[in-house]
Amino acid sequence: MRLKITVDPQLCIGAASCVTVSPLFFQLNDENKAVVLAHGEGGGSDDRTYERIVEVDEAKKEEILLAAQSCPTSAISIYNEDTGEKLYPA
Amino acid sequence: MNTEYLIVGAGVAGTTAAEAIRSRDAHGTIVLVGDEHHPLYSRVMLPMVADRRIPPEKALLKTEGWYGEHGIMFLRGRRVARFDGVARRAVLEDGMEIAFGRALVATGGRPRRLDVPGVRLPGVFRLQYLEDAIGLRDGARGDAVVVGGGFIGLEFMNAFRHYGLPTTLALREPRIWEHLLPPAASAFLEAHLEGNGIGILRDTVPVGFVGDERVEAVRFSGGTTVRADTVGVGIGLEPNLHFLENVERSARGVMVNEFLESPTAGIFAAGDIAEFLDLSAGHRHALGNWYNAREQGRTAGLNMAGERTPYHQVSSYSITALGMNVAFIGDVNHEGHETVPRVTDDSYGLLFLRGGKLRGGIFMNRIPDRKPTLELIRRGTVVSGHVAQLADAAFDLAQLSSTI
Repeated sequence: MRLKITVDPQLCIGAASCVTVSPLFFQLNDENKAVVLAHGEGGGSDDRTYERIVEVDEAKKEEILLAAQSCPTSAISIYNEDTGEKLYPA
Repeated sequence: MNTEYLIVGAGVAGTTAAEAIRSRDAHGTIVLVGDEHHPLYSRVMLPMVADRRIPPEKALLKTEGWYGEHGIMFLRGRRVARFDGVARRAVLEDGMEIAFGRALVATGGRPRRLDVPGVRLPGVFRLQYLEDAIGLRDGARGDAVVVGGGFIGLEFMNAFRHYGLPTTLALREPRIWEHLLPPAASAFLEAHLEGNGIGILRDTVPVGFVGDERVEAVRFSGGTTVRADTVGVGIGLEPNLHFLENVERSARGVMVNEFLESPTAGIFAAGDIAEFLDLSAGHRHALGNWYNAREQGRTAGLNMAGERTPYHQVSSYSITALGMNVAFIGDVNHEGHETVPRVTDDSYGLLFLRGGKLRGGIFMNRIPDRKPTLELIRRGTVVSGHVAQLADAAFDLAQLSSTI
């Protein structure tokens, strides 16, 4: 399935919980904001990719949802791109 | 009342535990007791409330209806007076008795109070509860003093700078983070604060707050008096453990194993008051940060519902100090570690090694070091042959984490 992952850079404080839970999909940039990776691709220090659509299996989807739930400032939102359903925050 | 699961403490650890239990046990009765009246909110977002980046309701992580929708009985604004781990019985302060099958203690701490004259004057703030952040938002003005140089102290400095208040920081210690950092690292952080206009008083504690309607000055040990219209006090937390009976504990917490279960079967602990066996650090300690509290709550909840999942996480904590990122990753206890500095004119890093492996890191203005450090710790990579590269502040640690 395809997920849309978004990070609100205004809310992100660079706590990096998401990076800890799911290093394949999140990284910090040089402004200490989380950016969204494509299965480990991207994420240079000047990356500003705060939104990305990724193709994932069920296990990866669960990992990404856990990463979003772990964010202490609720800066991450997850959508099912195929149905448009908002998965988190529900 | 009888319940299968009792959770004492409705912060992020307790609430996440309730959620995890429900994900594995659709019907077991869950009672969640918390002394605040709000649904779960993020303490990490309180500084955002204090400086008006967000309205208070945006800090709420659960809705009013969430608890009922998940079959969780939320006893809010209530406190446990007695808790007997062997008899499996708790009594609330209002007299209500609860018999339980399994229980989680996740009560965290309350701000340590300064016991000096004038501490209750308007204008003297703490920063632990949503109301504190709203009070600070509405009441910060004039000249400011911050008492205590810990993480809360840094958040006060961030907020006071946002409001443009001239600020003095008072440290009980001779230097900031004396117990966390070597002297050169403390000097680096102090230089950053002073470079941003913060005045620092050292080796001193408040002996009184002066004022009639509102605080006007702080009197310090040693005789110094500093004018202050606003004071932020952050001098640490005291663990909420006084109600526990027949539960093995230390001065700081409830003793639990890597499954977060105490030797008293059926009693679990999570968050700031869990003195847990940390598999990634190799010893027992308690950690006080959001990530740890949330993940421990989840693990404890799963185990209470019958799983057998060890808590195995590399701890990480990050804070902004007047625009500079400060991060702690893994085990940063100096005892038994070899340390390797990574220092430039505008950054300071310190790596902690033991047994040839990377165990932890402290990073000030060194964001790119964070993820590879986490990876190297998590994988247990032997780095002893690479100390020269670790000590080279210009060397990209990601090269190590991707090649060895």
